Amino acid sequence: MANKTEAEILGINAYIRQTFFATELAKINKAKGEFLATQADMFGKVQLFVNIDGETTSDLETRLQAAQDNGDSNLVGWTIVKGS
Amino acid sequence: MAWTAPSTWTTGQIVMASGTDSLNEQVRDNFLALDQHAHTGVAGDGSSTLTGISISNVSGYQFADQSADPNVTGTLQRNGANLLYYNGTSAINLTASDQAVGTPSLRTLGTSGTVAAAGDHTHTIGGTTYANFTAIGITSPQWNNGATNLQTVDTETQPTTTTPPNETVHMNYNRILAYSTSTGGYVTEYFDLMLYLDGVLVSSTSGYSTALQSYIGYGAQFNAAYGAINNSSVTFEFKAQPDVAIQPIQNNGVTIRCLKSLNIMHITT
Repeated sequence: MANKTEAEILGINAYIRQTFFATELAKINKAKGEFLATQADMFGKVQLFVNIDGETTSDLETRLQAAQDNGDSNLVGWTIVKGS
Repeated sequence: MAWTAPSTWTTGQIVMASGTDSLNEQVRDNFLALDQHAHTGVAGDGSSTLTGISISNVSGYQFADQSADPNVTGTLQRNGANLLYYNGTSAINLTASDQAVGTPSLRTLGTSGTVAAAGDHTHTIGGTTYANFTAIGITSPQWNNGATNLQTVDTETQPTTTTPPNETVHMNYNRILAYSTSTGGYVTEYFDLMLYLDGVLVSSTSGYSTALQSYIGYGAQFNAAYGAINNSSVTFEFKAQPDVAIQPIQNNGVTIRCLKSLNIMHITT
């Protein structure tokens, strides 16, 4: 598989945070330092870093993986790295 | 001598010495024609060349020793114990092994410059060189209250050895945190972090929070390093951009601080 381009790397981060987890991102309490971060690299790996009250990293990873398994075209070609 | 189609004699016919249907024509001249004709391709004479030949089930070819190398393009010829092929430039010895570099030939297995590596050969790391960049502190330019602009945190260009050009260059930015001397004290800021290798984005973290650290000095690391560098140098560039505008409480501005370490592993096989 060809290396991911800059547009693809930035695009997958934006899609996961701002579209797929838009609801979770919106309820982040910045005063408490909560976060929902993603990291993507040129080799097609994408990873979640989550600290949001009421959410767990594993739950969000499971939902993301399920979306990919169900054919979410935005996630095609990416490997979701779990267990951050 | 031309060939004459054989006659059919009839009962009582008188056979002459010469002339049509004579013994000279029918016997002497036709025997001479058979004996002396060339293979011109004319009907009845055959041809000296064979076309469209397909050979199968040949148990072996035996080449007569010509005691010389071939010198006609496309010729396969034996010279003593060697079988050689002339490709228009030189006679290639097809039976010799381990010829000079650049000369096609059979190769035995081994480790020298004119033999082939075995399929189960191993690669060993010839040496590892660590540059003097371990745990160097980096401070980015400052972002002020409300800023969202992209800035370069650090640029590192490292020359690499090109003989042989097998090196892995590993760059690691770690303990990344947002530092502020603001009177409001420590607050969380959100950044997008990008690491470029020779101008190509190789890794990006979006929404990175300085809250990923539990205490100053234990910040999460931005570990992205890439190798097998064949260029004469490699440049890493670490960029950052606030994902959320810097908070007003940061009245003295915010900088990103981190440590960087770099090592170069030179690999010989």
